[in-house]
Amino acid sequence: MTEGRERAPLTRPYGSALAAPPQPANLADILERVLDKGIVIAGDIRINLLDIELLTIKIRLLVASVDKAQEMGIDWWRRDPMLSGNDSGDG
Amino acid sequence: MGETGSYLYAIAEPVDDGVLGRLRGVAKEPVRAVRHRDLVAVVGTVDTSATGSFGEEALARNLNDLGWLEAAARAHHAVVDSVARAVPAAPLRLATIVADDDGVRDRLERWHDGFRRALDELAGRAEWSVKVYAPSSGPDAEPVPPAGAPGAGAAYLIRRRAAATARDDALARAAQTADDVHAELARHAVDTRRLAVHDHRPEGGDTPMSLNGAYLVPSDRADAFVATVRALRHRYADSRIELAGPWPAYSFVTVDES
Repeated sequence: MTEGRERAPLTRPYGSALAAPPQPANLADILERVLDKGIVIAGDIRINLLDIELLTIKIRLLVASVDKAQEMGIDWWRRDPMLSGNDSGDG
Repeated sequence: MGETGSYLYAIAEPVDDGVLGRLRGVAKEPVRAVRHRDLVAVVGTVDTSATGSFGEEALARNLNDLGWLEAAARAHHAVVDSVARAVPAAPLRLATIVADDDGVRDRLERWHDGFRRALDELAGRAEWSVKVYAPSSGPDAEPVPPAGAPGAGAAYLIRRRAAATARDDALARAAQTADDVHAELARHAVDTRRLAVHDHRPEGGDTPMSLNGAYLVPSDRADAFVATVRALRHRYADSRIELAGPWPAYSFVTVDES
């Protein structure tokens, strides 16, 4: 346990090697990451530990993801990549 | 405003006030660091009262308003990205709000060791995104003879069968290309994720995504990683390979409570 110990500065963060973003980030990329990735300190399996606001936000995010992301064709919540390989209908 | 909450953007190494001072968050609010032990949480104060944008009902509505969601997502990302360019930082998911700064410190304490490990792993590394769109249909078959021409029915069936075979072959090739690209890029990464492919077809094409890869790449290997993407574009000239990054390590941070 390293409680309270200050650490020496770690290796360089990424910004120092790559100062400028190569292009403005694409909205789908941003939404995929900020809605679906990142730390969830309100983990699903620990709901009993949580403040109520964290729980409700998790639920809201699911609503936002499904209703609106689909309009944009973003469907990362659909965990079945085989669906897209299944469209054998030819018009 | 009445009630407020502390909106979390990232858990990070202590970060210079000069970095945070320039930033505005999802409610255009100033962003600050809440420090606990050797970690900081980058937070902003948002209005969680019944009439505020981050009140329970308003937030539910707002998250379903694509314009609002886009602005919030971009603002959230901009803060996370600025922090991650300055110090190792673990992004939090959009709209993580706790009651107040004491609640923030509670979480820094409760999950300290997990955050600590996560930041140690992220130091000097960034996430890159590579998407591959490989052609999933073969080239179009020969011209269609006019209907009613002799043998048109049989020729139609033959063509259909050939088209189905070509499609199967193309799908297999697309999957192989995705695997090859991923394996090649993984050599430059310390960690990788294959995210779910989007069903969405990019503008101007009906080519499905066959790889949605995320790569955690040390900054001193970023140039080699980018060069490899360029080489892969030449090798798989019939596929489209999109590169985006560097990103904060959204896809690589998980904190499991023990």
